[in-house]
Amino acid sequence: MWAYVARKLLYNIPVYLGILFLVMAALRVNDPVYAFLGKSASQDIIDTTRREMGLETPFLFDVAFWRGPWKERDVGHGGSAMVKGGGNGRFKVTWTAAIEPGEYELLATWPEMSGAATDAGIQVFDSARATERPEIDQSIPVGEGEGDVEVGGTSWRQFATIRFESRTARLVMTNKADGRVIADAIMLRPTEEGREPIVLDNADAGDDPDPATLGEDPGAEALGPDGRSFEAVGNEWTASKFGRSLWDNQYFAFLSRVFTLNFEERSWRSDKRPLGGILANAIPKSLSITVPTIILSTIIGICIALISAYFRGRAADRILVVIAVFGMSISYLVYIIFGQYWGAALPQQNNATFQPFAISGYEGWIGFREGGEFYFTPGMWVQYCLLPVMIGVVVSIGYDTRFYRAVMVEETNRDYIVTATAKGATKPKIMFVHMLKNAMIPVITRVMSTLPFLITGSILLEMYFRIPGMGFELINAINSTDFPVVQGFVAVLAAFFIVTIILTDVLYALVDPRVRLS
Amino acid sequence: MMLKRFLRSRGMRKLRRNRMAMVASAVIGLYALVALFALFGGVSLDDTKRRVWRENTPGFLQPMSKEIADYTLDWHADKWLRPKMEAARRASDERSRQFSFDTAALGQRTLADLPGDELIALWDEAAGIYDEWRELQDTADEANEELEFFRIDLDAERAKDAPDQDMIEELEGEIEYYEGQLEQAARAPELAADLRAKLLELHPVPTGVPGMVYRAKLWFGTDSKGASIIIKGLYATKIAFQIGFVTAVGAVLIGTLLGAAAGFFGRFVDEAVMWIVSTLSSIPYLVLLAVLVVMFRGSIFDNEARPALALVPLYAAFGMTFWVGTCRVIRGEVMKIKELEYVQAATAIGFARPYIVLRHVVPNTVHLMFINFSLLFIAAIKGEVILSFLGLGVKGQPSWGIMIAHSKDQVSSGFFWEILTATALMFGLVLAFNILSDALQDAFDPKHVS
Repeated sequence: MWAYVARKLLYNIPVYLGILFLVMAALRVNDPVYAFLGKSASQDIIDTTRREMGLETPFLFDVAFWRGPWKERDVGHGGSAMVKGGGNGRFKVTWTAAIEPGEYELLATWPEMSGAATDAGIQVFDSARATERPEIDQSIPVGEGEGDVEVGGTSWRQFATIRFESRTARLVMTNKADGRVIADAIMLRPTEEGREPIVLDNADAGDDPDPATLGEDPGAEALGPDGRSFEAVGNEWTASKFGRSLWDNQYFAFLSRVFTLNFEERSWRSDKRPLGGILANAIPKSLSITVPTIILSTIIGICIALISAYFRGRAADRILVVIAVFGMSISYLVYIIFGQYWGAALPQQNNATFQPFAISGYEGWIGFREGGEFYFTPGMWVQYCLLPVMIGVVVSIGYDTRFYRAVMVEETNRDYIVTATAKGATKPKIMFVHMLKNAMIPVITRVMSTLPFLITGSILLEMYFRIPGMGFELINAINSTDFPVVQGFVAVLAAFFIVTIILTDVLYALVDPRVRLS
Repeated sequence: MMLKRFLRSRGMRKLRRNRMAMVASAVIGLYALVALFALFGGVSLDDTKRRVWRENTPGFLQPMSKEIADYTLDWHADKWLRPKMEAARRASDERSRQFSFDTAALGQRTLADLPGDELIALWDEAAGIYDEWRELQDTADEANEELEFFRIDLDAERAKDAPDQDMIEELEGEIEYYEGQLEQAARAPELAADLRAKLLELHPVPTGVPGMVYRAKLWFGTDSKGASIIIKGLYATKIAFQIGFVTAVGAVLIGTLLGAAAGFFGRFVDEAVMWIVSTLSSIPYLVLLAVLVVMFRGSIFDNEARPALALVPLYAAFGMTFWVGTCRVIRGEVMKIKELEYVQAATAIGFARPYIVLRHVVPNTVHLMFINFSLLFIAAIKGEVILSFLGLGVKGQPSWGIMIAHSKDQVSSGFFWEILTATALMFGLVLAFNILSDALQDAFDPKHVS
């Protein structure tokens, strides 16, 4: 048996990897940081957030090779210019220069190109300190705009005046724009008389900077021989050129967290709770709804199915089947809405003396207080959980009854029933002793197949009654783009699911001696 | 060819003898007609949003109490017509005056076809009656309230051991005064009838076909924005058919092709398909749906202004999750069929294997495709309701799910028309499909345990 379990577990590893891949990929179709911060977030905040959330590594491998890094065109100042289509700002170019501290006018030039951006932004850093982020309308060719000047035979447009305190000026242009971004040459013209302007061209490429210090302290970056450098960062593509290994990505980082049972990743929402804490809080709440629901609906379902099978083909059976089919044809949500209305809202509106159920909410009813003292208050469970449980039972009874009845009816046609009848056993005895025992296999299958949903809880019930269980947290996380929580929850749920499947097989073998695990 | 053989099969004859199944098919056909009617412009999206009467009007079965009738009259004169008519009076030129008159229309119910000045004169008369009526009602309300207090005071005074005679007289005087007021206020119902007649003259219920249409729109009452519930329900039928049909067809096709390939070719094809199947089925279905819908956020499909595109995330999410069950069933069936003589014969003749799958194997699973189609249709309609409640479903247009999810507040204030209309419409269709799929299963796959 252990060999079987081990083999099954091994077999399910690719399935598990697939699940994590699917969910992570689906959540990354749109850039999660963008989805989380919204459209108006500045590039600076986006960059820091991305770093904080550990999302600067690629998801699996780099997509830049098909999106393409900056393209070099043989036009413009110094004979070339870098061009990149507008996008989310993950593609950057950086001009760096050693300067004397002082006030500088910043000017830019670029070749004329179709579809150029109207809001190409240049973030100016004074050493590591971010100063301004002026925007340039690159769709108006240089020389035609207002206040364009001509220096040394080239037209330039002034876009900012900045006072630098340190000896390093760094200008970062990203492709977060509404059109093509053209990075060509920048001029820093001192406002003081008698000092020469500094021209930074994209041809001024210095040595490759060390990726570890990228974006940290530009003073430490290797500048070119003349104290200037230029580099175009084609997303992580360039970074991987600097030696990022194949395994250094979000997928494997997440896998390693899952397989080492590390649930310390934090939620993105303002409270920044760790994942483990959220799970530990939510699971008992879901269980206090789903465990009673499954137990009750299974028992009641089997009883009704037995009655139905006992009176097979007669009026009682027909009526039960019709009720089950009718019940199944009404939406779950309608049961919930009316259940809450009649069970909780209406008594409260009428100021009824008997108001056993709360309209919504949850209060702990079993567990340990902070001091470690055990408490158990079933009254709280009745008040907050019984109504959702009853609604859940009513909804699932229809499905359960139909299934169990089909099972029972199937069993009544078996040979052993004929034998038992011939032997002279009474009908109730055949039903409840011979048949029920043999019908256990499908019953176990069904109950086990509902077990994974124990911890998901009934998402609808939890959302409607505002019970902060797994389902509630999950849907809220999805709606507020809190992706670490979604990923973590799915990882836990899927693991639980796989374990129950294997357990089901083992249970078969225990219950039914005919079943061999192989 | 495939269908023709299927329609002539023994199972189909058995199905035709099943009366319930035939009734269910007829009901589904009826729904399909409604959906087609809506699809070809019978009910437009604007119709579902246009105001036809005051908010939360009850439908035809609920008798109108005096309070509700008074409230409706008050709404019609004061809340609805007054701003429009006053705007028309202030209007500087003929065009803007006509515009104000036009805005007073409630669906097919427009202002009377009279010259503008006469309309305004009519409104002035109506407004006069309205003000008087309102005043009378206010007096009556006040008098009732005061009378109650004075009577209590009087009783208390009389119950005393030594009643103050002056006090009693004073109280009796007050009571007499307010009773007089009440008597005057008894004229209010008359005035209400006058006002109603005036308003009907000014804002008549149309006759002929438009009148019938207008009255039909009020059969099931109006929603929280005054739009017709039955129109919303009919439009939502179209949405349900779109979602059900597209996802069920898509899922059945994907499931059949992959299932047949997995079952017939076996080996690594089987392994690959079953890997995808177990992956998809190991994620709780609602979670998977939610994640797939989130995938489309911020794309061109996430745009309320383009309702046709806004359904695509739902199609994709349902289609991608639902094919799994069909795939399993078809795979099992194909593995059985693969061993049958006619397939072996075809192999022996030397047909290519893909040809055998499409020509000899898949046609013999048509009954399973139909059973799965009806099951998935139900699942899609029900799933839509749940996703819409979670805020992940249909956007920018009414659907049964939206109607049910939004009527939460109406239910707590005792207004059931919207939720019941949506539920009843959905109940009919889902029940019909439930019966049909049961009958299909009985006819073609009697050994199956559902």
